[in-house]
Amino acid sequence: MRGRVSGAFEREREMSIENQNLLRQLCVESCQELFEAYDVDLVIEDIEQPETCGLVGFIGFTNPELRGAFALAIERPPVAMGVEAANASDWVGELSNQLLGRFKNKLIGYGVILEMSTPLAMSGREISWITEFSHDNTIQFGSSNGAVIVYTDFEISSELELELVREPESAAMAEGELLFF
Amino acid sequence: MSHKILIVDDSATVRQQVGLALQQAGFDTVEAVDGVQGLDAIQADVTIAAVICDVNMPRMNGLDMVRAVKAQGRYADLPIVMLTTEGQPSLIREAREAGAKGWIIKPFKAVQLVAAIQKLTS
Repeated sequence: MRGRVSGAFEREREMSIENQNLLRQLCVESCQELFEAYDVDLVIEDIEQPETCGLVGFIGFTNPELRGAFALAIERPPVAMGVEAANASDWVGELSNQLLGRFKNKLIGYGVILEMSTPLAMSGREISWITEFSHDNTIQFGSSNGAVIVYTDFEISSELELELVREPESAAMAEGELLFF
Repeated sequence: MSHKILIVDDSATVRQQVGLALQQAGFDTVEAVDGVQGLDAIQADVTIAAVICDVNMPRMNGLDMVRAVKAQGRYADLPIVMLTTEGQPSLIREAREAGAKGWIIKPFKAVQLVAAIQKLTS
């Protein structure tokens, strides 16, 4: 069940193994499902040294018990609807928004509702993570479309225990669903 | 005559994708980057037949835009469909209460989006 707000937040490395594994798993599933929607299959890779990327989208989230940010780095943006995005930076920002949306919708099943920020994006050349600071919270995928890397930054209330209270599919609408009022 | 659809989203890529899907189906499209611009566009162009609107946007979010539009009685019949990453039931309820006609979760399917707009503008 949901914990109380204690004011004491733990960084990702200090949180319980159960919470850490769950958040990581939800993030992996969210990312794989998102890219699958754009016909790109992602496979998790071991990270010695993360690949460098040229496009990064950033998005933050907050809740009284869980807050943080995702950075989504990609080598090349996926093609959507048969057309390349006119603005690759904007597209990776939107992808980070859609990634967090999926993650949020999964967390609703655990009784946690996140507030999302609007995304930011940057483009550059050979953008890379410094592994001694980020190895534990970096997920790297390989794909036919190049590397996809998700950097997660979680701070969680020390009293929050993430337990499934409702199946995510019954707690929130699924991606691609249409509802008429 | 083709219907004109307003696309309100802070992502240029989403506006491009939605615009492409609708134009290929024979609709005309106009764009706005946030709720403030969307509201201005609706007030300035009486030929807009329907609106597709994101939720999380800077300056004015989509739900506030729907409330502002529907607060003006002359737009009571203007169909607005929310297109968003959000699947949170309380937000969907807010949109329905504000007067939106539908809710689609991104990534959207072009066929589904076009069918929704065709239904709402027929």
